[in-house]
Amino acid sequence: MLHANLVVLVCLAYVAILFGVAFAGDRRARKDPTGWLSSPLVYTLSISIYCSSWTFFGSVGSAAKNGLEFLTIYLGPTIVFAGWWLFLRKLVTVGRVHHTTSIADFISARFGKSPALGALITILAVVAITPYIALQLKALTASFQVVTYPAGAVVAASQRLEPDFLVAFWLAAGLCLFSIIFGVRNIDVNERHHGVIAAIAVEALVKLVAFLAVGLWVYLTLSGTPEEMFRNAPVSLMHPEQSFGARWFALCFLSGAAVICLPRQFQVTVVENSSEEQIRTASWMFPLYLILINLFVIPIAMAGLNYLPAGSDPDLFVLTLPMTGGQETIGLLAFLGGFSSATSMVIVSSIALSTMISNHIVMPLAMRFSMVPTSGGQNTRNFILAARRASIVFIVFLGFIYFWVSRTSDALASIGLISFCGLIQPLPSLIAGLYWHRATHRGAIAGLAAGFLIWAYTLFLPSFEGAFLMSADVIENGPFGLGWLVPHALFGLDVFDPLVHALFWSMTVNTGLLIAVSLLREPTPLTRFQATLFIDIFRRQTETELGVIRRTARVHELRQIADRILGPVEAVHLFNRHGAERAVIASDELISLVEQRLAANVGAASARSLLSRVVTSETIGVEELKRLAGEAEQIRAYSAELERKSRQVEATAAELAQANERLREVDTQKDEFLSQVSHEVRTPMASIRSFSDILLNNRDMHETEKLRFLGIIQDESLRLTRLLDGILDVNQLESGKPAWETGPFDPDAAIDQAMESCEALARAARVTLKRSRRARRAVILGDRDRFAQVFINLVSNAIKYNTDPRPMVSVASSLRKGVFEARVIDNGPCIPQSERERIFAKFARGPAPRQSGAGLGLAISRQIIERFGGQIYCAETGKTGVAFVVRLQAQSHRT
Amino acid sequence: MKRHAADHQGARDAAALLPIAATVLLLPPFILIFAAPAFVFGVPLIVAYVFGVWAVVIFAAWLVARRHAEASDGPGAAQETVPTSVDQP
Repeated sequence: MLHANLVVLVCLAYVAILFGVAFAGDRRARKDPTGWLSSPLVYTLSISIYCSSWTFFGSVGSAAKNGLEFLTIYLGPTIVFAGWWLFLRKLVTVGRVHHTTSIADFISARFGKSPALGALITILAVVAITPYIALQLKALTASFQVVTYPAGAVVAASQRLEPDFLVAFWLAAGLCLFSIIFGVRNIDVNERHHGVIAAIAVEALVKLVAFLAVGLWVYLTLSGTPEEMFRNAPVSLMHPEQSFGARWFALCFLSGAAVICLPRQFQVTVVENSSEEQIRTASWMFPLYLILINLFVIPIAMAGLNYLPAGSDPDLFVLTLPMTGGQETIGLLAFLGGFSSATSMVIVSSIALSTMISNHIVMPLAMRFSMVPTSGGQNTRNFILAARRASIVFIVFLGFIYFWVSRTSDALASIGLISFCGLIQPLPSLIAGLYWHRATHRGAIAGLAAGFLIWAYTLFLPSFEGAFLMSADVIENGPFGLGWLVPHALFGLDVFDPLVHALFWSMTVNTGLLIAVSLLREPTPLTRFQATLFIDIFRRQTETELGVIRRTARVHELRQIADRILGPVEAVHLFNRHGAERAVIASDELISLVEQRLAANVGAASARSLLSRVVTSETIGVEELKRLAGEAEQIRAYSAELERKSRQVEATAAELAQANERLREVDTQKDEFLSQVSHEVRTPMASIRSFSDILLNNRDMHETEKLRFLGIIQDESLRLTRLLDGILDVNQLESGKPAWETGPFDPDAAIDQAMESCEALARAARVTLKRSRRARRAVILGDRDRFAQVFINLVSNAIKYNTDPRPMVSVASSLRKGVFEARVIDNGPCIPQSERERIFAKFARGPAPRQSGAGLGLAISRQIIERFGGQIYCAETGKTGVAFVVRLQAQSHRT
Repeated sequence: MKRHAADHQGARDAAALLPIAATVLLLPPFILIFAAPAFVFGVPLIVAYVFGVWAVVIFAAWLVARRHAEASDGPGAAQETVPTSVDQP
C-alpha cells in the first residue's frame, strides 16, 4: 500500500505544478497570443480530454469483460478526425469566425439566435453530464482508496468498498477551485482559456506516460508469449464472430458523434481553436494519441485475468497489477494518470457548462426579470463572472450529490455510454445547421426535445433500475401495462440491447422531426440570414452582410451596454476605432460589431436580447437577403464557368501543339523535297555537262558519235524540262491555286482522249491498249484536262513499267450509286503491299523502270484526284499486274 | 500551376475518401471477414486486424494532412479561397 499522506502530498504537489503551468500559460498567452500555446501539439493534447478516467480505468475493465468492444469508443473519433475535411473543418471554421462560446451558442446562433434552443441544449447537457461527472468522482475516490488500502490493493479491489465521501468532497472542492481560478478569470473575447489548456495538455501527457509505463511493465514482466497472455481471454476475444453486429456499429457512431458534441469536446475542439493548422494536425495526431493509449489495454486486461484472484474489479487492473507486483512507484504513476484524466475532464466540462448556464439560462432569466445590475461599469461583468463561478460549483456538486445518492447501486458503471447517448442529441441540428438552408429553429427544438425525451425514457430513467422516477414495474411491463411502451422495447422492437435501442429511436425521431417541422414553415429572415453566414462560411464577404440588417440605436446607449459587458477598456477601443465618439446615431456597422463582441462573451442569443433594448427599429431587408443567397449561387456559377474556360484553354493548347507538330512535319517534308529535287536535277545536268565537255574538247570526233552525244544531250534536257514542269505542277497543286477550269464533262470521253495520247508510246513499246467496260452517262464537275492528265499518267506508267512478254493495258469504268470508278489494269509486275502507298509519294518510282521518269506522275495524279474530292489507290488485280483505281463522286445521270 | 492545382484536388479527394475507406474497413460486414477464431503469432487475428487498420488510417491521415499543408502554404495559396469554398459538400 501507499501511505495516504504520501498520496495526498503527491497529488498536492502535482496540482501545484498544474497551477504553475496554468498561471504561466495565461501570462504567456497575454504577451504572445500566437506562441506555442496555440501550437497544434497543445491543441491536440487538449482534445485528448476525450480520454477521461472512464477510458483510463474502464477500457481495461471492458476489454477483460467484453473483448474488443472498448475499441469502438476510439474508432469513431478516429474516423471523424481522419475525415476532418468533410465536417470538422467547416464546424471549426464557423465556430472560429463567429466567436462561438459553446455548442448551445453555436446551434442557437445558427437558428436565428433562439434563446429557447440554447436553454434546451444547456438543460440537456446538465442532465446528461451530471452522472458522468459523478462517475469521475467515483473513479478518483475509488482509485485513492485502493492505492492507500491498508490490507493491500488487491483485497481492496476484490470487495465492495464503501466510498469515502470525505475524499470525494475535497476532490470536488479542489476541482471547483481550479476551474474557477483559471476558467472564469475574465469573460474574454472568444472564451479561450490558455492557462487551462496548458494545464490540460500537461495532464494529457501525464496520463499517456502513466498508461504506457504500466503497459510496458506488464508486457515485459507478466505477459510472456502471446499464447500465455491470451490463455484466460474472454470468449468474445477468442471467438469474435458475434461481436460485430448492431452494437459495434452503434458504438462507433455514438463515439464519433460524441467527440464532436460533448460540451467539453466542443469547448476544446471548436471554441479554443485558433487556426486551421491546428485541426489539420489534430486530424492524425489525435488518432495517434488514441492508438497509443490503447496499445497496452489488452495486455493489461489479460495479465489481470491471469494473475489477479478471481473477483478482482477489472476496472482497477491498471492500479492493482503494479501494486501487487510490488511496483509502488508505477502504481503511484498510474494513480496520477487516472487523477489527471478525471480532473481534466471535470475541469473542462464544468467550464464549458458554466459558460452555457450563464449565457443561456442565467442571462436570459436575469434580463427578463430585470435582475442584471445596470448601474456602474463593472457590475454587469461581475454579475456574469459570479454566475459562472456559481455554475461551476453547481455542476461539480450536482455530480457529487449524484454520486452520494447512487452510492449503493451499480448504475454508475454503464453511465458513460448512457451519457454519450444523451449528449449527442444536438448532432442532427448541428449537421443540418451547417448544410441545410431550410432548417428552422422550430425543427431543431422539436427534434432535440423529442430526442431528449426518448433518451430519458428509454435509457436514462431505466438505468436507475426503479430507484428514481420510473418504477421497476414500468421498466418491465411499460406504463399502465402498455406493452408497446416498454422502455427497452418501444413498439415491440426488442432485437437490440437497450443502448442501441435508445440510440436508434432517439436519433431517428430527432432527425425525422427536425426535417418534418422545418419543412412545415418558412425559416424566419434572421434564421435565413444566419444560415447563409454559417453554411457559406468559406465564402468571405462583408458589405452585403452588413446591408441585410438595418437597425437604429443611439451611440451613447450602445456605449453603455458595451461598457457594462466588455469593460471600459475594450469599449473605448471599439468606439474610438470607428470614430463614433461624436455621432449620435450609430451606424449599422457599429451595431453589428458591438453585437459580435457581445456574442463572443455572453453568446449570440443573449447579445441580441441585450441589444434589442437599445435598438429602436430593426428591419431585415428581404431583397438583400435574397441577393446574399444569390451571391453564393453566382460564385458557384462563376467558378463552374471558370472551370469550363480553363478546360477550353487546355483543349486549344492541345490543338496548337498538334498544329505545331504538323508544321514541323511539313517543314521536314519540304527539306526532303528540296534535297530530292536537287538530286533529280543533278543527274541530267551532270550528263549534259559531261557530254558537252566531250564535244567541246574532241573537235575531231566522228560525226555519228557527235550526233549520238547531241541526241543524249537533247534527251536529257527534255527530261529536265519534264521534271521542272512536274515540279511546277506539284507546287501549283500544293499551294492550292492552280489554273482550274470548272465545268461538267463526260469522264469516259476524257479517258478516251488520254488513251489516244498514249497510243504512240504504246506502239513503240509494243503494248496492247484495250478499252473495256464503260460507265456511260456519267457527268463529273471539274477540270477536264487535269482529269485527262491523271489517266495519261496512269496509262503511260502502266506502259512504261510493263515487263510482260505480251504486255497489255486495259481501262475500265463504271458508275454505281453515283460513284464513278475507273480502273487502269496491266499485266506487268506486281507491286508489293508495302510499296503501294509509297509510290504515291514524290520522286518515288516503281521497282524496275524500263524508262526512268521524274517520279512525280503519281504524286500529281493523287493531288488532282483529291482536289476532285475523290480517291486514287493501287489495288490487286487477282492475277499478275496491278490495278490503279480512281473513284469520284459523279454529278448526276445524263438524261 | 496546373500541377499544383491537380495536387490540391488530389489531396481533397484523398481527404474525402479516407474516412469512407476507414468506415468500410472497420464496420461490418467487412470486418466480419477477420472475425474468426484465428491467430497471427499467437495474437487473435481480429486484434491484429483492427490495430493494423487503425495504424494505416493514422498514417494515411498524416500523409493527407501533409499534402494539405503543402497545398495551403505553397504558391498560389491566395487564389485557392474561391475553389475551396465552392467545393464544400
